[in-house]
Amino acid sequence: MSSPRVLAPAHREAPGPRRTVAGTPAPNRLAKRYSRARRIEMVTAYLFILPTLVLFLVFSVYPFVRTVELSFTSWDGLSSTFEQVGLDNYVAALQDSVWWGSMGNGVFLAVIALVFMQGLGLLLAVGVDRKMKGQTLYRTLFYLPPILSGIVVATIWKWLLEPNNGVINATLDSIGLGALAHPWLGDPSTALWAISLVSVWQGVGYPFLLFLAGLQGISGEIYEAARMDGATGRQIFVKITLPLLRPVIGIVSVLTFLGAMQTFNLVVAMTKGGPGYATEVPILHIYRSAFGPSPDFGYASALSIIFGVLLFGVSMISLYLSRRSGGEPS
Amino acid sequence: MARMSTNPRRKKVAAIAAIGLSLTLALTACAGGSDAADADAAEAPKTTLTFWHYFTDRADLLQELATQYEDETGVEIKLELVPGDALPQKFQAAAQADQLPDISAGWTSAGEKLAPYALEGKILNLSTVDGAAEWFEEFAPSAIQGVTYTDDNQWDVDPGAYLVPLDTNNMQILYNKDLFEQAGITDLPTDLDEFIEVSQKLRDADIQPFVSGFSSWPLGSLASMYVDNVVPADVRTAAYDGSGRYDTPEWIEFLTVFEKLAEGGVFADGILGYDMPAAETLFASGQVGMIFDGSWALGVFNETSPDFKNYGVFMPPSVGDETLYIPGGVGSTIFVVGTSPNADASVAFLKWLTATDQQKKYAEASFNIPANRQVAEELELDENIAAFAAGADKLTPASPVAMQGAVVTTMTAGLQLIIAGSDTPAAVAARMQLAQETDLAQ
Repeated sequence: MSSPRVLAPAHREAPGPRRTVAGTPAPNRLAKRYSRARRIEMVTAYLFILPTLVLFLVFSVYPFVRTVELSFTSWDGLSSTFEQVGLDNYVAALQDSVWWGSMGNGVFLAVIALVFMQGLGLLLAVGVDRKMKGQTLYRTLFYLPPILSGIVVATIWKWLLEPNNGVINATLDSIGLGALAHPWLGDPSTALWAISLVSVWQGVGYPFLLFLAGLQGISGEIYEAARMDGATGRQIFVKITLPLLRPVIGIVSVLTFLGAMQTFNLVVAMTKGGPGYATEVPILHIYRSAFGPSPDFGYASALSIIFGVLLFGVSMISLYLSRRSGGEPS
Repeated sequence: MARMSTNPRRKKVAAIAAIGLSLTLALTACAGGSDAADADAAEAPKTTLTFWHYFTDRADLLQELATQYEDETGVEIKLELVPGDALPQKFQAAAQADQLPDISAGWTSAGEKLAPYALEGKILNLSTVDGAAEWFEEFAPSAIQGVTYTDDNQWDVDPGAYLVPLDTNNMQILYNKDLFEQAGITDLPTDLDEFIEVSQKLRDADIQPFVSGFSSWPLGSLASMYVDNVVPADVRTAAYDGSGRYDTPEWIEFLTVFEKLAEGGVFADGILGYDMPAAETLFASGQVGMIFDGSWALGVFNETSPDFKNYGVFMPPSVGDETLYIPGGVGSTIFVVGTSPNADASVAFLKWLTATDQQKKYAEASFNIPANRQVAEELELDENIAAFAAGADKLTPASPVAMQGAVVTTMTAGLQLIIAGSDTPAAVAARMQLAQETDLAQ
């Protein structure tokens, strides 16, 4: 996409007081009045954004600065003294195998989400984008899981996955596949897969909705022209739909990755990070560091900073790659 | 704005008027003094005490008692139910924001987790209030033990009782008599081999043997019981205070008990996926032969499965050479927030709540073992509550040192992996040692 032509600075300058050949300002009442009006306008504009700016400073900037500050201390979250520990928390984080294991679990959930949640979301969006009977019903149904509370979703799935009375094992048993019945959440080798399945089920509505919006932004004339040229459905999808959806795919990928890495409530409600550390995820580990049996807000803050920096880095790289491959959001 | 007068005559008039007005107001105030005081007294704001608790099953009972207290004293008790797991976090956040209630339910006994609050004066030392000695005489010694910081406690908290016990409890094994009969089991297990043997008989009868909320804290409770049963006291204490280690043969032997139990088929399939409510449902629905649970479970079964009555209680089998103590002591507790402006009124309410009449009402309605000694002796307890009450003699004795929180977390996660067959006792012991070293270094 070509960028708009940049006007020369001289052309963009606001009309100011006329200048004489010698360069001294010529008195111009109209220009002065204009300049005063512009100043009032700017002050008014700043006054309008001031409340938002104050809220942003108080609720975003200050907590961030405070988190950075806390990450160099050892604080139990209650006492009035903060022990300065320098980089100790960061060094401890680097050596914390449970923390890096939780990061690995987060990446696993993110990969599953990127492949299955996005893939399924795209397929559902393509399916619903056609003119079909019950289109609104399908859209509502697909978007229903994301609006449910994570705790409700986790509770429902915990019942479904329950080893002795759960619907999933009972169904397997009733269709002659009882040998496949399994304690899904109680086995370290399947617990994370079970969580990821629930996560995909709950989250698929978001990419679905974004992809659907992206599909509806593609002009029907392009498809019509392709069909007239004899393109097959598969060719149209690969050569037209996917390339034109690339900006949406880029954004959805970043959002999906960030969402999956920050999985928390499903894990807390379904496994509490267990068995062992099989489903321990980064946010849960940070939470435990701050609110666990040996609370250390300093260490939790250091983990938060590390986690935030890593997520920011990955997001920037993803967006950069997305832009380079022509997926810059228009 | 009006300009001040510069005319001297006007100034004089204004000054006289001001003096007159002041005198009139002063005289009026004096004349009406007693009436005003009466009016103030009549309109004095009513004392309202905010009480955070998590007693979902006793919410109605507490409300009833609160209403009764308000009728008797005029002090309003504003109850706020906070879901169990959220109370510690909510209290911590409120402490940071200085938005604490007057009274709160305790979420743990006097130990590491409450020590920072006690040190910061956020929890009132009840031993310092008037009549404390007589008040605490009313409670069972095992209940007082759990709410008291001893003289030599490792957290340097001023010695004293910081919480009030509402009830006492302990954890034992409950068994389904019908299922035991069905499996041909006549004797209750007393040691590890018998425990495995009984479990095998249940499995042979197609019955899941044993369950508990192993995805959550009950595994830690069972483990703490067997730590005391297997690891000699001097080795334990040394590990707790940092002078000893966790990767020694004694600790590995303790962890191996769980490996043997898992390999012996004791644990129900998928036990690591169960929290306590799910485990209780499984037991109460007759699908599992045994459950490791607390005395409070009797109330839960009575409420959720009123027809389920044919079960009994027995002491967990001993698996080591040391004395077997069971976890328990103080059950539900309440404390007064030390920084509350209504601390005296809060103490008065707690004294009333734990007095004989109220405790009787509480015990009858909640199926809990009352903390008040007199009530515990007077009430006619049912067979299973009596069995739990008898366990009060076998509770884990108080210790000035305890396992570090970080080590408990590591041990519990490690035990889950051992039960799942994914890790070895030696590896878990090594991780516990590492957790201790990291914790001490921090």
